[in-house]
Amino acid sequence: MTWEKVVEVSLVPMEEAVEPAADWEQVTSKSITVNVVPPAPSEGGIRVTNANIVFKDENGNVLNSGATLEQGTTIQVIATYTVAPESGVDKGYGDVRLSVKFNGVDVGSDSRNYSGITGSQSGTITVSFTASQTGNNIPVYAVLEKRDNK
Amino acid sequence: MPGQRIVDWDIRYYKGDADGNTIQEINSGAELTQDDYIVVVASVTVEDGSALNYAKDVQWRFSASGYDNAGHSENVRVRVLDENGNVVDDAAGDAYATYSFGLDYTGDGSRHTKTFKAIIGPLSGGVYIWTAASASTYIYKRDVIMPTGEEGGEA
Repeated sequence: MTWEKVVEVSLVPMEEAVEPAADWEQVTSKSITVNVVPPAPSEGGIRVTNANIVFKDENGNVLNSGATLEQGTTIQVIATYTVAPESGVDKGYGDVRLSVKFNGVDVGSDSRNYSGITGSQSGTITVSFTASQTGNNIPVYAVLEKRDNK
Repeated sequence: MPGQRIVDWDIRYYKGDADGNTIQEINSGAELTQDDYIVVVASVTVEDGSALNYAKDVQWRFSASGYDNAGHSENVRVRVLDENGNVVDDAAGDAYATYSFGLDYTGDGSRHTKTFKAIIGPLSGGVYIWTAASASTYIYKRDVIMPTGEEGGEA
């Protein structure tokens, strides 16, 4: 009784078997085996979309231009956004920063760092400050910025 | 003295690109990505003898397989380029690509080197996702008896 091969599996790649034509004589041969791995993910900056900034008083009421506040009121500036790797890259690296000025003076800023994000995610940054001056039409200015770290 | 004699040969493997450009010489165990290609450079040097008796035909054969972790294997596309960079054989699903070349005989004792290149890949896989790949290169010769010569030959 002889054994008949049903299936053959090898974790180590098997040597190629190439038979020359009958009238050819082998001079030399050389083989190589390499490991194949997925390509390294591409890296780049970040993309910020759907950004929105709202101003709220200490009770959570939304403030619009023309609102009247008492001196000493705490104002919250809340920025919401969506951050993702920039187009065409697998991993995104960067920072998002919210800066606030009250009557032309910097009153606060905060930032978030994103390192190697692979998909879309939402973000929130809040900066609070106290309305220390009195007067009419005092400007409150807020800006959301981003920078790429790759 | 016999006619042509194969006096030297060389086979080298490189990490390369789809156009056959070589980036870095590699050996077994090298790590390539699924976007990479293996480029083979294989050459043979033949020396002309003093007697007009026979010449040589030389044949290059290139084969490659990709493997996944379950032991499945598939042929890897192999393209052979001539010395001018033209594709002379394209084995998309065959076991190997081959090219034969008859070396001109001068009888003056000079040496002639012929080099052929093969582009193996991409290594991105076919039905299966490959985690390893192997490539083999074979060089063959055969004697071509000239009308005025004796039979026989040597490598």
